[in-house]
Amino acid sequence: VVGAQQGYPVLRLVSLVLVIVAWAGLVHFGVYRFGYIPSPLSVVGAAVDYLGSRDFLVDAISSASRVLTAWGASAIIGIPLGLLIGWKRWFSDLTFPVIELLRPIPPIAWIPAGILFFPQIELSVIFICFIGSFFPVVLNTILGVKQIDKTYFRAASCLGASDRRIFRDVVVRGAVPSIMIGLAVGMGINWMALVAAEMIAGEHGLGYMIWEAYSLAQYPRIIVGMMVIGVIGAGMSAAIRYMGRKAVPWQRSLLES
Amino acid sequence: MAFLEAYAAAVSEEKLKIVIGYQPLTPTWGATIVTGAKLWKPYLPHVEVERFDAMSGMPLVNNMLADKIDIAYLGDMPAIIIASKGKMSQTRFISLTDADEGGAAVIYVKKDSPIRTIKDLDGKVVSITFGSYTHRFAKVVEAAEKVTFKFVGQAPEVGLTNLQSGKVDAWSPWPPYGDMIEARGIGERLVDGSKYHFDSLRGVVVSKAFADKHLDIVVGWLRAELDAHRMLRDHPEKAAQIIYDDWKRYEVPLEVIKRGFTYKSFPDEITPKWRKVLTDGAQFLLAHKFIEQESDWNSFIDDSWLQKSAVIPSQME
Repeated sequence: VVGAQQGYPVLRLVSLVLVIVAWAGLVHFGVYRFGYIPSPLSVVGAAVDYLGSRDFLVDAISSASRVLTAWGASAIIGIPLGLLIGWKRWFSDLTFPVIELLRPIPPIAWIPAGILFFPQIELSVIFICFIGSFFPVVLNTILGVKQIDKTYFRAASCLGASDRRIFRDVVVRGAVPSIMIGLAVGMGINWMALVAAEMIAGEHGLGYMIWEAYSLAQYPRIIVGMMVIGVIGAGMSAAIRYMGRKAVPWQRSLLES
Repeated sequence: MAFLEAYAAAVSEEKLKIVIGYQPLTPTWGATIVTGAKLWKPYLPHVEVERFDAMSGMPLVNNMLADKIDIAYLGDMPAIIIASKGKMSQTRFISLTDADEGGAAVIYVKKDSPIRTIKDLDGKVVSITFGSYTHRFAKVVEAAEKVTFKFVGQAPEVGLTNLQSGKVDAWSPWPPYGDMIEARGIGERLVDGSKYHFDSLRGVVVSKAFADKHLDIVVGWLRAELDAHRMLRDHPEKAAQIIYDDWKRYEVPLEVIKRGFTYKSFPDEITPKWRKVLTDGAQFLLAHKFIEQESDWNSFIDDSWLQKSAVIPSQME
């Protein structure tokens, strides 16, 4: 079949339309408690108001830059850390228990510590987001190194490779596909942590906008904010997967959308 | 048939559960007394009360619009917001629980802050809670003093952490947060609402469907509310102790609670003065496009239940 290769773009559109039709129907007929949920029409009204305003641009740009900064920081700190943990047993014993202890703590619980520790509001917000992406990046990097076939390490040593060369040519290269997955997952979780992070932002941001709309019981506006986060977040994850496929063409199936 | 009668009797014996929306760590002292000291018991022996605690007014509004709370204690701004949602759910403002003439609206600065006057605060960062009366108050100060603030909208506890770590220059919370940092010596009052005649209030809001169905419960509840007002006026020591016990887990010192009594009143009637707080607040929210439409105040503010309860003899000794 022709379609099987490229997928079925029509079906993707159909799934979106189906969700919206089902939503409208459930709200209209008040099935179960759907009568309490804003209807697609009221959300469209709120969307026209919001997406046409300058606030939207400011919110989207501030949130995107916070998420990207947090994501970049978790890549810069998380990837080397994960590579070392995966590669060197002593380093793993030294650091991994702490990471495992900190990992289950939800980003929102870090809010007071984040505010007190960082000198600016902006840094505290980025920190809360960072908590979201840091752990998936570290863990996937570790996993990437552990999955490398042990014979590569032995072969490289036999052929006289230095630790430095093993790190560069075996550890890093072998872990790249898994690192890319970690980065894509981390980006998604960053957006998930955004509302908690921007609760402390005080102004601007999609998460803050949702929080503010909640403070005024503007429920359709909240759904607009949720959708914007969904679209931008999905777009960024897709971009990372695309870069991943370019970086590791031999592992494309891992990063298929 | 005998079985059916026995069944009906058993059902009527069963206590009716009502859900009361309540916000600890706010100055809704009346609510704390009514629920904490169970003042409703003599009037509503067949009722079981479940208190729904939330840390801000909006979860209460949210749950009330979703028909999960029957009676809620709300500050003026959440009450105005729920009034504007008449299309979603009909609610009624049936009594005040407490009110003040500006003492509850305060802008604080850190103890050793170089900011000594409102003019010093011009262009500085002020933490308010978005859409609450702290927001409206700061706007009133701006207009009256011809200054401009840079606003950040934060929950009071977030604003406090930011004030302490120097990320905001001033902070406007509701009591007892403010009284607490004064007592602890962390911050001091820069200005309060009495200078601007900035009245604020907290009141009792009921779902219309619930009130129509359970007239007696609403009337009985308000009788207990009036008893609480009397206790707060005549026996403040006893009232403060009840609040202290109810808030034990929040570790609010007794002096801090008593400090709140100094600027409060507990009106038994919804007089035009207090009605104006709601309508003025609505104008503020409308002007900032925070709500979309004017509410029907004549049906929203309804003291018919309160009038019925005022004639019931009090059971409080």
